[in-house]
Amino acid sequence: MDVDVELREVSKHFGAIVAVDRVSLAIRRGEFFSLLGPSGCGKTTTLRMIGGLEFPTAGEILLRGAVVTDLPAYRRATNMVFQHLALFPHLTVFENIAFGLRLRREPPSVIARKVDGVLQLVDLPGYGGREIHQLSGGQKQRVAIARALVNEPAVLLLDEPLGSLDLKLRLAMQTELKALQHRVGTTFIYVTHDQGEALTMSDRIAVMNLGRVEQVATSQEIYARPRTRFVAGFIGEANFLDGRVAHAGPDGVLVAVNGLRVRAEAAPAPAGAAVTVSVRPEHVKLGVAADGAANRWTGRIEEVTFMGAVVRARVALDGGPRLVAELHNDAAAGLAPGAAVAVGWAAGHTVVLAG
Amino acid sequence: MAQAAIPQIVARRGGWRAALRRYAHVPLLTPAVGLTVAVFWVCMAVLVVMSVYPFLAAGTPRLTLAAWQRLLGDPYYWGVVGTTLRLAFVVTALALALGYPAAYAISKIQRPGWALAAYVVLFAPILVSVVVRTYGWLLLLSNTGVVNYLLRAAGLVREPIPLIFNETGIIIAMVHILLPFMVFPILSVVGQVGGDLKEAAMDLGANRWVTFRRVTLPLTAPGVISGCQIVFTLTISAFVTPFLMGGGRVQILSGLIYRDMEAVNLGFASVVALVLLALAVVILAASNVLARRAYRRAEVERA
Amino acid sequence: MGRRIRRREFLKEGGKAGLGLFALAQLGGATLGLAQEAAAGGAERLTLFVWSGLNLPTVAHEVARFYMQNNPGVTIEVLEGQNFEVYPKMVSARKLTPDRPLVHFGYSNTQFTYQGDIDDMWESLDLRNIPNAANVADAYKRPENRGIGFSIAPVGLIYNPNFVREPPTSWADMWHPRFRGKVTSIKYAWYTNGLVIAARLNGGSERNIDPGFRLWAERANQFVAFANSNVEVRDLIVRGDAHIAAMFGGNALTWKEQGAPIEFVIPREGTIAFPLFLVVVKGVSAQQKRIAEGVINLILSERWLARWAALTYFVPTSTKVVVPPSLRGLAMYSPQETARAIQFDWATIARNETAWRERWDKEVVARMGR
Repeated sequence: MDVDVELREVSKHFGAIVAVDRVSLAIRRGEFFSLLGPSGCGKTTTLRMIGGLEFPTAGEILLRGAVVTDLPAYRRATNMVFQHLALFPHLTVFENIAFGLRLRREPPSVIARKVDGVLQLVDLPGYGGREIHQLSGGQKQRVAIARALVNEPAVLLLDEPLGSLDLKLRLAMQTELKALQHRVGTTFIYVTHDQGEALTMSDRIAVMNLGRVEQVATSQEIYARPRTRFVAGFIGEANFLDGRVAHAGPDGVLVAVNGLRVRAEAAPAPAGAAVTVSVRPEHVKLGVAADGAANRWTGRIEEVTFMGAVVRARVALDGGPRLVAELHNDAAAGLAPGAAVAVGWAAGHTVVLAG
Repeated sequence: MAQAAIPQIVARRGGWRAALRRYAHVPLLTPAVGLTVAVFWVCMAVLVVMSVYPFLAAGTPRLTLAAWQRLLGDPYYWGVVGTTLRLAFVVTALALALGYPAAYAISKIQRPGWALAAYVVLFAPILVSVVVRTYGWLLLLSNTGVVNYLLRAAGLVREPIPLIFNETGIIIAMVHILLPFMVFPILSVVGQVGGDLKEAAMDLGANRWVTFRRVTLPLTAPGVISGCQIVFTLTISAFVTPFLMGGGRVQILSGLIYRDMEAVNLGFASVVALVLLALAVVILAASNVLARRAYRRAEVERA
Repeated sequence: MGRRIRRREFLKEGGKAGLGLFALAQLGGATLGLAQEAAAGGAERLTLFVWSGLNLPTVAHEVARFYMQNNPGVTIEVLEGQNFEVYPKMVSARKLTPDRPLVHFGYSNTQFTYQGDIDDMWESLDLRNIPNAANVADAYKRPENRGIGFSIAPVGLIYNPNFVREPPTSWADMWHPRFRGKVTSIKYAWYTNGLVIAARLNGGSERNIDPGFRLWAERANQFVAFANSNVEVRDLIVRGDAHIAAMFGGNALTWKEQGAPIEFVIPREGTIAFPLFLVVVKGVSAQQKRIAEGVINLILSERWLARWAALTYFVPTSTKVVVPPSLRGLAMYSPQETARAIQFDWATIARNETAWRERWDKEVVARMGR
């Protein structure tokens, strides 16, 4: 598989602040790749370095095999959709989209055809003559994407482009963006702090924290097999229990947590090592559903919160630790604070994290 | 016809009520409007009346257009109008040429201390009285002044270049005083052209110059236009500085007003004042229309 | 339709309304309340106008104070300014409130004294109420006593000795080639810009001014620049931009005293006499007029004229005045100089003020730099 963008040990320092710390990535052609992390994690800076709007302090950036590390934005085959869109307020929709084509001195007939084509693509046919201020938020979004896409970039860079939209529109645009990416086949690099957005759209995700990449994997893998405590906590929710590996063998792993022995399928550390056990709330079963689980204890319900489709319960295990369980509301009948209840989960749902 | 007119009347009545609602905020404008009416329009009315009724202490004045004919029928005065306009255009153009880069540079200054220093340098001439300012210019620019001394010392010229008591002196001084009036409106819009717009342009393939021409310049056009309008208006109506720097030798409209005011020839002075006002209004209106049309044409051409 | 004003009526009404507006605007806010109606019981309030600048207002203030001390119930307010600024307001006030003048009486320069004759602004003075007028030389009494000349500002030539080795000796030096590009003057001041004197020295006069214009049209480049005020003339000379100018002797001597590099000479043709007047404005009541005449009598007294001369170097018109010792040695104070001073036909000048200004611009200023 071809690699479109490659980062080799790329760092970016702003004075004493290290924004990006020795990041290496290889992004494949046609991939929807997300950089995910909390604000200040260096994801936007990484994206801007790929786009040529920032230049690395150290390391190399390759675009389709060629080193572009010090090339300015206007000489790179990348285009960006900006966080605040940055549409030109003095130009019409048509002129905004045609901006890049005109700079490349495309003939007017070609420009007209391409702009019309891309307007079709983003579902805004006939909007060319509109002024930017006449558009709704979602329409501006599409124009911004069209303006970048029309240049047929090798890589489309998207810097939290949906951040300013309301929830409903954001969800619709997520689906649309993904479908669009499928149609055009361009490599998308998408920066977001919204894990749901990343999980929905991405082929692969790089989770970043404090300027470093914590894990690069598919959505499913990131969710099911987080490699660090940060990733486990940032992607979805997790119960964390600190313990020590008591036994590790081909038949499985036992982790001692406050006298409880938690079963897992694998561990990244040998016996005796301090580890953290992570289990997702939706994997924690209560009552009869816990019957037969590899990890099974009794506990007492402390609090029940109704959340619509799901119900969330906080349980104090008899051994001491507290866990949060998330159940379908039809499985939650009879749960009440103070009630004794069986608690359990499958060994396959235990994730053992180093440290 | 009569039948056709009925819906129109109804529509107009609806419009009248709508207009009432639409203008409900008008009372808020009253103080500003009141002041404008009192100070400006009353004076305008006075000027118009004085321009057609001769100023006589005794007897009943009779309507006469003599003062208007004296101005409009005399090629000499058309020449004065020409000088006035030429000076205003040149001063405006130079102020723009110097003011735009200055505003752009100031907007780029990161350190507050340096920005403050730039403001002080730029605005200092406004804070100094016209007498001190003029004295400074004369010291610098007269035949025995610093500039001519340096030019001769450097061997660039043999005879001193006349820099005062002519149009050159007026232009230098007016550009100097009015530069802040050009810089300030531009500064206020240059700062608003977000860095992300420039980055977007660069991302789409524009280098710095193209970014400036296609994004920054059009977006700062409102500041440029208002700066030009302010400087133009202040230049054509200026009197003291043009007189001092022009040595009373350069004939401009404001000088005519002063000349005939002193001679208690208020009719002619009023005519000149009204012509000056009309020129300012026409030029300002034309600049608004031109700006709008140029903008629209650019759109059509590109579309 | 019925309420629509016909055009002619409109113009008439508009004219009246316009004049009202005009007068109102001319009056201005700053001077309102200066000339108020007399309070009850014979108390009077008068406004005395005097020129601002140098020591010119001092005597007016001193005389006003002195008069008020001796005449309780009378208030005299002194309004300082320039004739050309205040005069149009005085005319407007006269039209708007004929019995309540803006200024009741005061100092008036030559131009506006004669302009006032044209506009019928001045009361005839009753010289029986001004006994000191008897000492004023006849040349400075006016037709029908519409004001009285109390002082003369002799105009001679000034030059900067740092630049001029050979002092000017004649009015004709103003247009002598050796001062080409080195002459200055207040722009339309006919007594200093050389127009009238050039006409007179070249076969013309105030009534035949063309020789003056012809000469200056040819020699337009004698002038380096024009000024708006005496102070600007002084600065041009001091800096050396200009080397000579016609100037009031009083101003010249005051500046020299202050250390300016300025010398004053009397041209061989004599000084130009620039008479200064005291006038009473039409519209005053009989009582106000008597008070004004009383104050004028004080100004014309030997004591105050001597004070005036000492403060301003301007020459009193009274034959009785004993000039302070410090002035006695000055040539322009000698009776011979005063006697041979050049007397302009100010009435003709006033009538031609507007026309000459236009001609000066078109025929002289327009030729400068060519």
